[in-house]
Amino acid sequence: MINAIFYKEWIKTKWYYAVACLLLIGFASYAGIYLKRVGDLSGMAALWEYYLSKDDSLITIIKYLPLIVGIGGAVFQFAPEMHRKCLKLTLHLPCGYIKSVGAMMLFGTGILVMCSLICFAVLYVFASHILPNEIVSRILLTAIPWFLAGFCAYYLTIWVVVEPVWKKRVFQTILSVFVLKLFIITDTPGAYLPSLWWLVPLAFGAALLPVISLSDFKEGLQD
Amino acid sequence: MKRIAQIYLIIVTAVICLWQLPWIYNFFTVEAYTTPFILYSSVVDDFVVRKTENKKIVCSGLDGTTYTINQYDSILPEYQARQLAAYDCLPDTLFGRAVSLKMLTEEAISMRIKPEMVFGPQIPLYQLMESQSGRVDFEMPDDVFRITDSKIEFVIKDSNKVNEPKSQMFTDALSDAGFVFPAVEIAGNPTSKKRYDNGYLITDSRNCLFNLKMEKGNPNVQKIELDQQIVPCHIFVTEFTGMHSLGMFFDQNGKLYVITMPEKEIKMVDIPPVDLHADEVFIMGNIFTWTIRIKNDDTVSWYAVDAQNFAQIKSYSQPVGYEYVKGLDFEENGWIVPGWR
Amino acid sequence: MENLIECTNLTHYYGKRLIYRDLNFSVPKGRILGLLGKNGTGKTTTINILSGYLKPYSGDCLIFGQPANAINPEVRKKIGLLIEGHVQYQFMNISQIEKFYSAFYPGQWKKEAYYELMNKLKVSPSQKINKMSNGQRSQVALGLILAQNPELLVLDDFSLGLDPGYRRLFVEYLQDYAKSEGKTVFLTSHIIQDMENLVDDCIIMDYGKILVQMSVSELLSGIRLYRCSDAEGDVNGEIDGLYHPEFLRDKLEFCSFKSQQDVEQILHQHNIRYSAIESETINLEDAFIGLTGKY
Repeated sequence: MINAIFYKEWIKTKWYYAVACLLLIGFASYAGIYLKRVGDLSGMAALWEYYLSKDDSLITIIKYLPLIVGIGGAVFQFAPEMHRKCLKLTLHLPCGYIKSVGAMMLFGTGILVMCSLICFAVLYVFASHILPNEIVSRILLTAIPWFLAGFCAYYLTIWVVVEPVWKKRVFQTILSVFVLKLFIITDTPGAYLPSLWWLVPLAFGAALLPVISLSDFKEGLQD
Repeated sequence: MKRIAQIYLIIVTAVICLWQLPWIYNFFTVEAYTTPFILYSSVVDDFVVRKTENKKIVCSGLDGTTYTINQYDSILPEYQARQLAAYDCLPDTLFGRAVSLKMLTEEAISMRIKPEMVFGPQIPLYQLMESQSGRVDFEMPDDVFRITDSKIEFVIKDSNKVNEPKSQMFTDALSDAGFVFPAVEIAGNPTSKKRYDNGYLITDSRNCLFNLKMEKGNPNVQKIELDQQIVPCHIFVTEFTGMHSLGMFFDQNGKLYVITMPEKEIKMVDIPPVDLHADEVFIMGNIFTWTIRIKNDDTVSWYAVDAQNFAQIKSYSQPVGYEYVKGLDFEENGWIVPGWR
Repeated sequence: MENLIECTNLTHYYGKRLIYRDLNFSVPKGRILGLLGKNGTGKTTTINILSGYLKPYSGDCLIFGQPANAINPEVRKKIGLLIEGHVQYQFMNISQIEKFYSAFYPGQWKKEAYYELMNKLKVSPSQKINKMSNGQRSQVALGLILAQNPELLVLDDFSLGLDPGYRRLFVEYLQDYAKSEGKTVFLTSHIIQDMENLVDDCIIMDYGKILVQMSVSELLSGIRLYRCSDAEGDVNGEIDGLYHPEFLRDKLEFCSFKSQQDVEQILHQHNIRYSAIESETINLEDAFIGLTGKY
């Protein structure tokens, strides 16, 4: 049954996720190539000194991309379900509504995880070739909250899209903006290291929120 | 499941409110506060305040005595030497000691220590400069070093490869000087914009303090003798133009010490313990006295100390002149750490 | 006879607007029940409550003995649901949607029933649903329900948006399937003429209440359309036993389940004078209009 839901999600979103993955990998590659070019043009010593003296990771070009991909993923997956209340069909499937919607979210999460890992691998390959481990890990650590923001944005957007009551949607949107702001307070490399312990549950805990919207949908709440 | 989701939502909403509502309130209500610029004047034996009111510079003593700008220059000759010299008003002697403009400007020191400089995110790679290059201008080294659990490693910037012979040479030099790996604190000023190089001050795993320099490509490691009860926790290499000090450090109790040059003697500065997590330290000094300002969210204090023996001469405190509503905040010393601030 | 649907004392409001109060009905196994009513009388509300997408203000609704909002997956397999407007996943094509649903109904899925209907549409298996007409979409939705082979079919306004040909096709297929397989059906439609040959029982709803709840044969044999010639009198306000009496020039028309003798007595009691009275049997659509009124 879960495979069937994955199949449905694949039909619905394959083009979106293909483009989103290419974008993410493309931008990560660009960031990696950019580091290499800065090193080639200014000298590796200048690049190293830049990292040791400035609070800059030089990869901020990808900062908002995971967030946008997460929001887009949720919209492409769940907006068609809300069109003419198509979600009723999904909730009517004989596997329990938590399981069916959970499988849909698992599909999106899986693709986002895959995209994120590829991005990190691309960045690692480019950076580790020219920079020492201490700087490479600082660069990757800087990108972790941005990718966590992508996951959180994905779940929060589902929460908002599935909610049938507009007044609640407004509240949810405002709250979501502030929650996402928590992931992008600073660009200082490695600044989020002591906060990963609560950022990870904050990001993935947001996956619980669509249950509230689904409950409102099932109870037929409306403005 | 819905109940767990609701608990999550309540917690997140509460966190966002505790974070953003005080911030919004403070944004609209808190008024600007400028810390007054205060220096100790040996001439009047008191602190002298300089501030701007209605776009005019106003100078006064703590007792309310007002000074004109010329009077201000003359009661702080060691700080205002250039101004006095320009109008040929700089005395030949100050407090019984012969002085010159060159001497006073070279001996002037200024140093600011902010919590984020001490506790902020830093990449544990360091650049050891050549102390005796034979050139006036410094050049940045072509490698960086790291100290692992068992050795010091130099990594060449261009190739991203470890320079094994150099690493071995410096590891041996450190070990021969009694350094026990790994290092606990590593401090230096890797910049080409300085007059001379004092290398690095490093504490080892037993909290012993060492001075590491590179002279003509070779290691020069010297152990600095410390009282056993003193544990250097936050170390700073000074490299002041006057060359009277190698560095400073705060010990485990927040007491400030100066490592003098050339004898490398440890002298305690007679000021109260400093909490570098919260306190910002600003030092302005000359050959006679230092004025040390310690500022945190609640209070700002000034201490005048003797520049030779660091005994306290005078102190003054005042509350920080603005109030704000505390709330949940996530930024601390450059890190993202939740806290009630 | 076992009831597959049992609703007791259902009451629902949208805000402060009462939709109905204390609605009671049941659908026995093997019967086809049609819920008839004008727009806004609560047909879709009832379907939503039955399919678990609306929590009623009060009352209980049991399907296969389970509360409608907490039906377990095994029981859900026995329920075929047609959403108003024949809504289906628009992004899928004919073969994809069949492949998708078949995974949820192992052992009961009748692929051939679906493709038999699809072959009649003469569309390619790769035809996307969002590129189809309303009529074609209705056949896809019906085909999927037939393939699911459920014991209970819940169909919300199946005639919405269909032209007469597709409506007829839908009704004929459904009728044949339900009767031959002994299926239980609960449906709503705003086109009453389709229902006459399809449903066994009907509930006719007015705003806030049930007007009639009986078998269609009972309804059509019991109800009469009465016409009085040269009639005079005041028919404003309700007259017990007579449904929506209305003057057309000097003729008075109304429906009633009462005999002509009883009707004449009622008219006499209300000082309504006439020269002659005649009655006739009527079809379901006329009965519906007679019972609910034209306005």
